[in-house]
Amino acid sequence: MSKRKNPVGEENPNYDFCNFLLELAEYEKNVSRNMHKFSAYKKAAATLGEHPTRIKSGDEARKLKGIGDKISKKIDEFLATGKLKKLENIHNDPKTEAINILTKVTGIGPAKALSLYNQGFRTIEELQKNPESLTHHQKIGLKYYEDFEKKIPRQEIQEIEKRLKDLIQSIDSLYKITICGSYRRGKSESGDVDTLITHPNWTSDKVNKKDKNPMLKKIINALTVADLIIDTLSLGETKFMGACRLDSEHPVRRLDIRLTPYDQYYCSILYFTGSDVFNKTMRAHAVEQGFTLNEYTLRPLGSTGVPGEPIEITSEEDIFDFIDYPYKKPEDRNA
Amino acid sequence: MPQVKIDHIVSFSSEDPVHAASNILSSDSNKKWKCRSVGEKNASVVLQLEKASQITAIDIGNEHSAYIEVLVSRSSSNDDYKVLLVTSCFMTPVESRQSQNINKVRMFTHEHLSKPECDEKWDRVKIVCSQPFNKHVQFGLSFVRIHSNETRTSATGGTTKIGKFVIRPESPDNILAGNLFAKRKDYKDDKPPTAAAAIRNVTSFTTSPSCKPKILNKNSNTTPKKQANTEEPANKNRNRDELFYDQEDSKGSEKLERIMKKKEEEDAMKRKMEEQVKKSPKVVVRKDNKKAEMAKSPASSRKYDTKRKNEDDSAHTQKPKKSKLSKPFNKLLDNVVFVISGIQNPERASLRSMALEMGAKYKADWDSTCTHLICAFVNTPKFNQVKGKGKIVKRTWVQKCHEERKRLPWRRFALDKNDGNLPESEDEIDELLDVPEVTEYSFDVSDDEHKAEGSDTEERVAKILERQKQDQSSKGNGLDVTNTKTPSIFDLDTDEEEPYLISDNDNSAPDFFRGMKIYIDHSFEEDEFNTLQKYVKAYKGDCLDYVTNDTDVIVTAKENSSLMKENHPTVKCAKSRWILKCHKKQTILPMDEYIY
Repeated sequence: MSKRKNPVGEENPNYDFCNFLLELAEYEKNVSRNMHKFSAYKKAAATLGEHPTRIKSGDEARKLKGIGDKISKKIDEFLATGKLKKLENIHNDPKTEAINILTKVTGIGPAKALSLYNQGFRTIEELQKNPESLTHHQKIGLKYYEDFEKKIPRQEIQEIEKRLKDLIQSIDSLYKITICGSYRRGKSESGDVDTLITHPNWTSDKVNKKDKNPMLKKIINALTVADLIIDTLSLGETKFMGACRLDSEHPVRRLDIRLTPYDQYYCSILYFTGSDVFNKTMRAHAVEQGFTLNEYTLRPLGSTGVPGEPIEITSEEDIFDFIDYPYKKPEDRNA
Repeated sequence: MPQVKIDHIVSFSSEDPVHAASNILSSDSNKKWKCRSVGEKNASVVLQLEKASQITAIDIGNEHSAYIEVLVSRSSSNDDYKVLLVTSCFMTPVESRQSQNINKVRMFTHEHLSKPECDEKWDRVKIVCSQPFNKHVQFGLSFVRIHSNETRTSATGGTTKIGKFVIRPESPDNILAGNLFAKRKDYKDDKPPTAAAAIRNVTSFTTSPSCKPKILNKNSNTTPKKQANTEEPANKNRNRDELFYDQEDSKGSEKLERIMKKKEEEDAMKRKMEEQVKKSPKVVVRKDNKKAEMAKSPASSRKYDTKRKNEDDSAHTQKPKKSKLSKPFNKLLDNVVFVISGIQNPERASLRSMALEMGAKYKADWDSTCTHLICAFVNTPKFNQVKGKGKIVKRTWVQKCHEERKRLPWRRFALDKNDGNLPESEDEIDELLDVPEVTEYSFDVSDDEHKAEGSDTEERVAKILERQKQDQSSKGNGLDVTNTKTPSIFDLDTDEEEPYLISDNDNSAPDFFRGMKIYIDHSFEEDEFNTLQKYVKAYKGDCLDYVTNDTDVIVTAKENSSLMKENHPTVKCAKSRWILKCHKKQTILPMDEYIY
């Protein structure tokens, strides 16, 4: 998943609320490291983003799901003054500012950013001059920093998708390839290319075998030879992270490829399609129905809460069907 | 793996008045437990095991539950249940909604069970069923079997019941005095028919669309020498298999094997001699006019052939023989490729070696070359895979075939009731060796055998005794039988009656109606009435002329059934099919299905 989430566009009646909530969410995640607050802000922003009309008061917002006392007060404050004191403080805090900037580099998370801040780094430029303390991943992130900050237009992803499919299926036509993420949700632009691959011969019962599965390495090799992949951030048995480029005319893009066992493919697709808020709601619903859902499997919960054996799943619809959740097309999962 | 006995039901969440939780204790797989009302969230039952046991495997038969979970506890620890088998899927949402595959069976082995729970001993088992996908059904279990690796104790009482069938103890065969000699006789009977007899066989089955008899004839026409050769690999196979079961078993079958081998050699020698003697015309002719009538019925084909041989002297260019197909024991099942499902060792190994001994081939998994599935219960994964593609039989098929040393029609042992209800196809009748199949034949048993043929019977008993003596002496002298036997003795028309004589001697003739008072209503056509009466008498039942108070059953036609029931409300009214079926199966069947 990409680091940058799209801010809500101005066409949304509540876009300004959403954006300040998202900004608060980022702050909670990166600086205060409070993931629960981060989730709360994200959820509130998602709810507001879905709301068809402009919210006129905090009380009105409060009736919506995911918005409680504190957030409704913030909305009131924003409506009354046009700004938010907490946000002003954050903006004026050089530490927050620096951390927010540093975390934009792939491979640098809040913890690393804080440690870099403590070492005296404040900007990307300072980092580029002294990259000694960075890992390989972070160095590559720094190298393509500008390109990675750019959004990828949908049409470019379509071209990347076509090339990926052609190249991978020329290795073995049985490979199934799906690009997930916001692209699959129909967004006009995305932060990265999130690819899932599976093969009928690769099932979860083979995952723990000692001999390494060479499938992903072969694929990455082929894609590198074809000049699509130009840099590797990390490569394991089942997950590749790297940089790709259609041709020198195009910016370098973040590309993730995951090799998923065939029997877990649809759970993975569901998970990596997101959105993260949608995933959370869906998982919460699954638990209500007596199931546990993650990116690998859907399992029924036993009477003492012990998850049962994985349920056989043959399509994304199956998962919705099992937990009795109305099916939503990927485009409708943006909330 | 022995089964752990379930002592009683400790508790349950709810039960249907008809499908009570106590049904789980019953060995009858038709009895099931269902929750009381539709749409219950989950249904659970707590079972008390006879003693604390380490559970190594669980077989579960479903009844419309989507998920089933098994937890364990000890009665002295307060309801602290641990998961032994995580919630496992038995039905998909689609199956649940459409009520398809509601009785799937899954067998969980040690690998499926949770660690470390599966390595401890438990005496309480809680089974939790749920059906979230269909709120309009009652759900529960059809059976549960818990296995332990502990040595068999009185817990299982030495017998295993599968449905209505009691599985015999492990010993490959009961060897009683005189029994072996009776078996030897079967062997001699099992020599392949001569060419002319084979042709006659084929013609007597021309009504059948099946071409199988011909194929079988071809096989059985192989020369004695060839058979002796083909024996070799079969024996090797068997030896290998004996590694899988305990010594006691193998001892028994080694003994049999030795005897078999000897017999085979004797047979080969005898056949050689017979070929020489064939050139001289037959001299012995039976004068049994009564039997001539029987010969008119094409159904009594075996009798018919024997008969014709006897009466038609001019046709006697070869020795008379039975029209039935016979094969050496190790080729009885030679076109059978079988797969086993739901049966665990050591029984699995013993079944397999029995079938291999009879010439069948074993496969671990079903493929297109397989013909039979030997299956413990319906709806196992293999059962569903094979359904409609192959013959699914109970284990008793192999056991009976082995025990009686003949290939019995599989349909009698069909696991699926639908299969069993279909008429037995001709090819199986063809292979049917010594069991009376045709109606007139059993009439012979009661009438001809005991009355008209009284003197013959004595004659034959004498011959059998003589032959047994010879067998013994031939054993003593090695294999030097050439001068002690003259083939003419064995070439009489006696062969196919012998099993009856033997049975009589053993006191094991079918007499399953013995002690039953049966009234056959006159509402039947005369023919049918006579036939039914014959059967009842043949199997030692009491045929009443009128209904008395202690009548066990009234057999009547449908039109008359209500009248009969009105007049004799205390007596059961059965369909004639009950008698016919009993005759066909050679055993008494539960009447329930046939009652008006």
